[in-house]
Amino acid sequence: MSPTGTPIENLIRKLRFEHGEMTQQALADACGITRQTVIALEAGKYAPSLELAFRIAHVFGVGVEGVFQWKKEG
Amino acid sequence: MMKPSLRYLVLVPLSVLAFFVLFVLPDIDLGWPGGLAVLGGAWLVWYLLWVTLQQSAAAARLNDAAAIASPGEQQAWIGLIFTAAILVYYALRAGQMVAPDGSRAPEAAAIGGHIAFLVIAWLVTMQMLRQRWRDTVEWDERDRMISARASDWARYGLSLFVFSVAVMFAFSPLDRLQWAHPMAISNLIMIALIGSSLLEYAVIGVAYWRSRH
Repeated sequence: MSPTGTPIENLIRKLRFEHGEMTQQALADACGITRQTVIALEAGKYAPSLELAFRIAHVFGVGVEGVFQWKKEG
Repeated sequence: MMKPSLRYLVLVPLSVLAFFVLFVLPDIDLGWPGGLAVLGGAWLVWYLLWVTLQQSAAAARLNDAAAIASPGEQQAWIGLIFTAAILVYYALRAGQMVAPDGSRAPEAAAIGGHIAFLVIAWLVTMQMLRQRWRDTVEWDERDRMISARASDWARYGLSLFVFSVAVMFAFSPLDRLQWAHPMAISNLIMIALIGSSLLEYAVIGVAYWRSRH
């Protein structure tokens, strides 16, 4: 497990900025989650459920692997 | 205008003092002007603390980089403050609820009334916050995960306490259980229940805090 707590990396911050500098609150509202969960996801402190991962990917118009990647250890 | 940090430094100790004067100190007859001044002063301090908290939250909301407390975290800290206040008050006054013969003392009704007052103040505070959050997502899968973990801690804590009490009753000589009148046992059970709730709120609060830092 990574020092930040989850072995899953994500590109949420990058994708937000590529989508018209979408705010954390706008992404949270679009996914039906709190802004603090977006902050935790971006910081790598929370690994989302499969359903939430799909919802986030859907907001950005990409597949789940376009947002989340498994961080290889070693 | 006073800095928020300085306001917290003044208002938090004053709020604790107001609680101590109103609920913990023995009742002293100050006459109606004195009683009104103490009650009004306590409410004023609590109101100013509430306003300061809301101003801090509003300022953080305007800053996209700031990680403000989520509704779930705010509920946890408020729950922790109220359950701690109830537990401290109950623990300090529990002895006065037991009459010398072990039955319920006349003071028990007044003490129960004070606890009911604290519970009502907690419910009113939560209702006011829910009004504020009505247009936002209050609860999501991360909150549910944190809450489930905290419930486990509370259950383990309560189980450990019940097990310890059961062992104590089973193995203590009868002459060392003279204190265990029905009212004293009733207080013990209530304190265990409030304590497990306090543990649950503390675990939730710490989990959120660690997530933000």
